[in-house]
Amino acid sequence: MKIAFVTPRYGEQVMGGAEGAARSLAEHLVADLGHEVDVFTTCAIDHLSWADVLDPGVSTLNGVTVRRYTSSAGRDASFSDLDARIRVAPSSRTLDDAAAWVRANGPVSDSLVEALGECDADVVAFYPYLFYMTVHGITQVSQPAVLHPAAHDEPSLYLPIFRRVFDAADGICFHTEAERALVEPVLHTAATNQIVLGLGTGHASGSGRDGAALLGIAGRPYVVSVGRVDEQKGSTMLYEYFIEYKKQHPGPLALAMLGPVSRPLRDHRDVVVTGIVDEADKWDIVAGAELAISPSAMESFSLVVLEAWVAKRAVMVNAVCGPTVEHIEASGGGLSFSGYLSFEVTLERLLSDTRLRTQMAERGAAYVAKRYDWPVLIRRYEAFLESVVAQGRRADLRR
Amino acid sequence: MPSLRDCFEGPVDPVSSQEIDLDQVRREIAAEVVARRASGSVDAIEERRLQRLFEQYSPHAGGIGALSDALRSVDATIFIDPDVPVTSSQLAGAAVKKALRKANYWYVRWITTQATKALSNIAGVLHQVGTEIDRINRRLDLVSNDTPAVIKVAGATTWWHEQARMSLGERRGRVLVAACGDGALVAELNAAGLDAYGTDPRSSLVSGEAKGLDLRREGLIEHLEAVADAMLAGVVLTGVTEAMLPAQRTWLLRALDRVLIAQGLVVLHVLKPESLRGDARPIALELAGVEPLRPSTWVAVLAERGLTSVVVDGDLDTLIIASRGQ
Repeated sequence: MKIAFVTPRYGEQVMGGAEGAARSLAEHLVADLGHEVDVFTTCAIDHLSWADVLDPGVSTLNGVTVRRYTSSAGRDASFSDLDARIRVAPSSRTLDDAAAWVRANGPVSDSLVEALGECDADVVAFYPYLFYMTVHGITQVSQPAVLHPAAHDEPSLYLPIFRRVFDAADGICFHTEAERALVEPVLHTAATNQIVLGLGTGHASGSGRDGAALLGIAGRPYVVSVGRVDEQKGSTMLYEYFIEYKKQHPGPLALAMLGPVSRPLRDHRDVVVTGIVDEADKWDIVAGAELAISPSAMESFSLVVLEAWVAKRAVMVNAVCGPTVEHIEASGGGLSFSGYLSFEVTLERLLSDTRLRTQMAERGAAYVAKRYDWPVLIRRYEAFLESVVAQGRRADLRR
Repeated sequence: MPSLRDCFEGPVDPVSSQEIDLDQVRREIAAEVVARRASGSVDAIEERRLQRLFEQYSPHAGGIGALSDALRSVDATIFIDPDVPVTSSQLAGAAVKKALRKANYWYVRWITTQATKALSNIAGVLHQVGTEIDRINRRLDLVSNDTPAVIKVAGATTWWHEQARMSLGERRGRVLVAACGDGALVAELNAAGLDAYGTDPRSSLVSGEAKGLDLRREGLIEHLEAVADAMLAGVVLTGVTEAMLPAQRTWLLRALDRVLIAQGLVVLHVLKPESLRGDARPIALELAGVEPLRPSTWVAVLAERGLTSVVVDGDLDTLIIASRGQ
């Protein structure tokens, strides 16, 4: 089978997120199952500017053929104001408003969309739903189209333009049941062939080094949060909560925040912000933590929660984030918090109860092994793609 | 049993194989949160500030539901534009206004941003209230819960599967099998070249996927609410109509009108009322407090909606195959 992925950015420089998930699936389809995979993407890396920084053309990355196209526009200066306006009443916006929002969001690459017309794959997978190439590409491909929405409960989900996008999908691949439950009533996707797949996790690839020493806080206990340091990802909230916690509970405990920094935080003696770290350092730092915290309310899957369990750490998650709450409820691998006091009490309880933390970590690890081990997951994905290909392009039937 | 305070401040427990009751842990944490809030351990103003940080990027419903249309007019007035109009009938008036706007823009923008944020939050709450009212309305409308019990009787066989498959023929498009159980009929239809999937509030998704079937753990009403118009080539209903309340039945018929394509087929498998009497009456049916329709009544009800039926009788059950224009 030949599979094409369409995603706004792609490459080793892209950490996590939907685009990272697309790369994982693409590479495992090639390496584990011997399929042929083409990726249609832009020359951008930065998700805020979408500026072309990589060369256009065809290259190969870990067995995957990567086709890069330049963009005629990145994130438009008007995006912020436009976004503020659509936030107010997204479902009542006109198609023109929504199209303008998609264009301003960027990256705009008509050459990529045109190239999809000549794509010779058996199935085309779009990942995620929000971007120009998905909105314009999914209605144009002649092959069966699979949509990986990676949707959160965000205003853009309610924009009318996305009804067309979801309507044009022959198959939908959700990260979690929570994502499916969110999308179905809004976009009326219930009759579309679908799967709740999630993402695969690797094995811990640390080298047994002291995480605290790597962070420059040797001898101190710490909790860890992995992911983009960004206000929208809850990083500012976690930072403020942790500082308040330390006022209430003085001691050596530190907070380590790993990941690219979109929103710089004030220096604080108890908070270490590392920026991007390599995989080996990440695994060693997570493995050395007392527990991991996912403060984000806007996750469509949260691989970092699963990776914490792979590293045998218990987790704390944001109580209004459906997917991460789904993970902890299904696994018993963590607890959630819904404000400062519950953050304080939950953290205090977990830190003081080694037996609880250990059992949660074990439950989480078992959950990951059962559901998200790559060999299991990639075969489920392959079977789903085959079923979509077998049914062919059905989207035109209902027009 | 250690006290809660011991749990939080006591010595660290050695790792034990004894399973911890997570629900109990959550209850203890919730109780401790209440106790600390009452004790004023964190200044109330500071706690509100911290709570706002939590809520700032928390998702809330984006406006689905019956009241959302009415709320749109509220939504439309929320955004306060910092770009003050500068047109003027006076000579040089526009230039003066423009200069004033530019000079004060930072201040006006700050004020309008705060006001818009506050109003957006209020609107978000209104949408949540609207969604909740919508849900309550729906429940009142249907009187009972959304998922009527699936009714099966001992001794019923699958004689009608073959008839159902033949009637669906080689239709292109998805075919829904409601109350699909373990997916046997879905598998038969797929083997015949149809694109079938199933829903059942009782079924196990995992077992369906293991067989390569698209099976969902959902009730029929919940599912059809999330199906777009004209998406289905066929709907097979088995065991789902017997325990339906009248309002649910009416809703179902309207939904079938909406979700089926023009050439769509309704395959309705119903148990005969006489096979549901006495000791054979399923408990779920008795609890629902309804009397199932006779097959002939179904035929009449379907005819009212422009559907022509073909009826095939079994011993305990009846198959009704209904379509438009036959």
